[in-house]
Amino acid sequence: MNKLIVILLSILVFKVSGQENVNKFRQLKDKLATPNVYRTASGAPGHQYYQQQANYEIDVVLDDNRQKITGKEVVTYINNSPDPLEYLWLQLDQNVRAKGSDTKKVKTGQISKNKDLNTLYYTLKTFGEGYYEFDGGFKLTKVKTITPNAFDSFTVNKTMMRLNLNKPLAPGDSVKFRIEWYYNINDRMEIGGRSGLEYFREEDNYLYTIAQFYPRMCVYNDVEGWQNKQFLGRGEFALPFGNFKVNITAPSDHIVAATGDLKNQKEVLTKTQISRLEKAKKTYDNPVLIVTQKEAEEIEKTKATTTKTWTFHAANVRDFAFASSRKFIWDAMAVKQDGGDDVMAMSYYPKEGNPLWEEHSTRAVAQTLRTYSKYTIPYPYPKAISVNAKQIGMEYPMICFNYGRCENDGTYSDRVKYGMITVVIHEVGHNYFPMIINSDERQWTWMDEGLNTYLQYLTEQEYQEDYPSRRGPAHKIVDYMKGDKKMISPIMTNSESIWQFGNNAYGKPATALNILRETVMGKELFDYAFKKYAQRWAFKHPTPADFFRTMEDASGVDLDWYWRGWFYTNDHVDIAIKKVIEKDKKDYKKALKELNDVQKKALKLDEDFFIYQIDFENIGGLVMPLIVEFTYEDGTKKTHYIPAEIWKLTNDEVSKVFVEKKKVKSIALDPYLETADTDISNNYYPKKVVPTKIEAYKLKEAQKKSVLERVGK
Amino acid sequence: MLLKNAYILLVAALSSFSLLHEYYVSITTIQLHQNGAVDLTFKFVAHDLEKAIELETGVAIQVDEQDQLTDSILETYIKNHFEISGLEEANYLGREFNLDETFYVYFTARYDTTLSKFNVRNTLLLQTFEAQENITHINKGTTQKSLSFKRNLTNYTVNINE
Repeated sequence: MNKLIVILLSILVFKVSGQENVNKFRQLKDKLATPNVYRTASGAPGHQYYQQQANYEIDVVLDDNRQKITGKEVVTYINNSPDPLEYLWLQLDQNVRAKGSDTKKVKTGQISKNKDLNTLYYTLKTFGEGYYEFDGGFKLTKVKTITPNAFDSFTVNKTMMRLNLNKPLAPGDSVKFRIEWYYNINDRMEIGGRSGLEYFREEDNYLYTIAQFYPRMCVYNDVEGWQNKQFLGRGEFALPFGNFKVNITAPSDHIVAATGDLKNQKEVLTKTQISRLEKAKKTYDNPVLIVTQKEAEEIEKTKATTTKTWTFHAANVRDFAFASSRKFIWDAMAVKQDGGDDVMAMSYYPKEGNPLWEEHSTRAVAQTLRTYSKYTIPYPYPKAISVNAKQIGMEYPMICFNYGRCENDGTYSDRVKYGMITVVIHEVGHNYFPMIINSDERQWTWMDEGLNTYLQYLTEQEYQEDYPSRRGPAHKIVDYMKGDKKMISPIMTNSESIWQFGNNAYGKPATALNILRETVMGKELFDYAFKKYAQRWAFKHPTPADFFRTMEDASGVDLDWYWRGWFYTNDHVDIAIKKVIEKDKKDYKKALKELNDVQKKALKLDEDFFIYQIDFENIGGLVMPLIVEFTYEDGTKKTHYIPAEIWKLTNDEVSKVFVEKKKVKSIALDPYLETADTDISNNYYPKKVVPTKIEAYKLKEAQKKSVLERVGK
Repeated sequence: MLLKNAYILLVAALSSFSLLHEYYVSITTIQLHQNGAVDLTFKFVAHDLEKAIELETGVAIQVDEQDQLTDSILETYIKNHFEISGLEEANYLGREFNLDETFYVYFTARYDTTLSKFNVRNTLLLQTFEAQENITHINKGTTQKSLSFKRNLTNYTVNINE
């Protein structure tokens, strides 16, 4: 009896597991969070959606002699959640560079085979203790409540700090507190960093790009609770929105660029600068110089001993950053946008960036605002700034730091030019993702980098026809996707654990969206849904599910198969024409004889017909639309577009019959490389040899020579 | 052309945080033809390769500059870092640079067509970038083998017939 039960049970188990649905078109419900009052199944914010608010009043002093930041802040934190909060968490991001930081401890590596000085220096510095140790990290000097009795103690946990509230902060209540601190500014060129200083040795001058410079509130929300992922250096930031009032005290000969509106321009700018700025506000075609190169070169020759305080106010931003230097040239122009206010595009750069920067930076900023606002929402902030910072590209609200320097003689190559325009567009574009459409970068890099890289591609193509974009077109992701699967993570992988970061979190999602737009959904449906996502989640905190759901809900296209394949697996596209069977009129001779005249007319038998069965094989795993191009014997062509749903019953192999009026000479699958098919050698009937890169090169080189040269005469 | 400030470059090259330009992937394609000819294609991200060569040799090159010295530096660097057993007469053929920063270097060679087993060593850029990965495809007829080289995986033996 017992034996029988065991046998029966095992049959049952076997049967259940044997029936598990692995169809690539099954819905994504097992992957996405259950919809609720905060986030709906349509992908829109729910009727009880909430988000927290943090307002800051900050006084910060930049000490150019000691390269040090000293700050004081008053934070007002408003609990809009329905939950009483027993503690508050802040981020102390500078601690990533503190002595004993986990970032260094968890750094992996092997002993290099190279025995040169560089390698030794790197090894000692990276893994040793006491070699070139930088005294980084926040030095907190005061953490005190202003709201009476809110808290008496706090706990620093590496890159985060908990305020231990005496009693829970009730829904709707707020708490106010003061923090004071200082930190040493890192030399970006020496130890890296998203912000820091660059030292110009020959003239003993500094260019500061300052960010993560104050203790910032963590996000508390319905998805993560409080953020609990430490800052290890790669997964970037998650920040609540708020209003900022910031006073920046810097040497009086510095020009300061920052998030927000400058509130005291009469105190910090000259009358000439103010009148030039006013002119820039009415100039839409070309940047107007507010500080000229000649003026900047004069200013950087000396050093002021006095200071000036610049006051900036910013509303509804998730962060604040600034740049300061006596080396800055400054230009600006106004940008008109459809359905929104005029905004300012500005650039700050040292002479080392010129003439490249005066020619392209502000224009690239303006183009970014125009393109992005067309596909998302009108740019809601008063300005967007591009600051020249050697070697990096890094984004903050209204301001970003971008590389691109000229040779000493002022020349620059096309490579440097396009590299610089590319980085400016990318970083300015981040104003939308994640600064306005405020996703959690600590969890998901692709949500800002991927979406941003997709729009960056459209912007580049609008800036200049045939712009040499690095990412976007389907064929550019092929090399990555056909790689060894053991080394490819799905896009839906946490920011800290991604392999091949650039390809995974920038290139692949950007390309996936571009293919979705051009090859799967069509531009109209895609653009409407993408814009809807931006409108719904502007000034809110979206999750991947909110994006996936909105794109489907607003377009009427079930994309679960696409998200599952492209975002949750590391499958690739490789679809092959496996077999072609041909029939024509004479194959049906016998049957045709049996027809009467009415039937013959109905079947249009006075015309020729040719019937083709094509067997398609899905080798790579991703199901995709079939783009089948027939070339007829008379040389004309016709394209059949078959939606991906052709794979809905069998995911690995499908057969399809085509009835043609003309005899087909050849068949090509995806002839214009629009699906990221990784092996196009199996895309042709009859089989066609596709020249490899090196074969094409050999041909090109051969064509440069005459036949007599080729045969050596 | 000696590097003045190697330390600074080294550090910048090895910074682990991610901004716009994390690529760190190269693609090597080895095409074994039935007639004994071999085509070798190396695809790099141009600025990654320049940085690696500068750090290793102290010589700063621009891969978009057409001169013989650059050709010879590229040839030497690749031959130092890439090896496949059974190949003879490996000849540098040329290079192609595109403004999207993709960069190709081509070699041709000969091999003994009776061989099916190859030892492959690929250490291109691995010492410069911790996250570097060199995807290597070996093709013969309809057979394709893909290998992935990383810092801790620099040698493979591959049988093209298996």
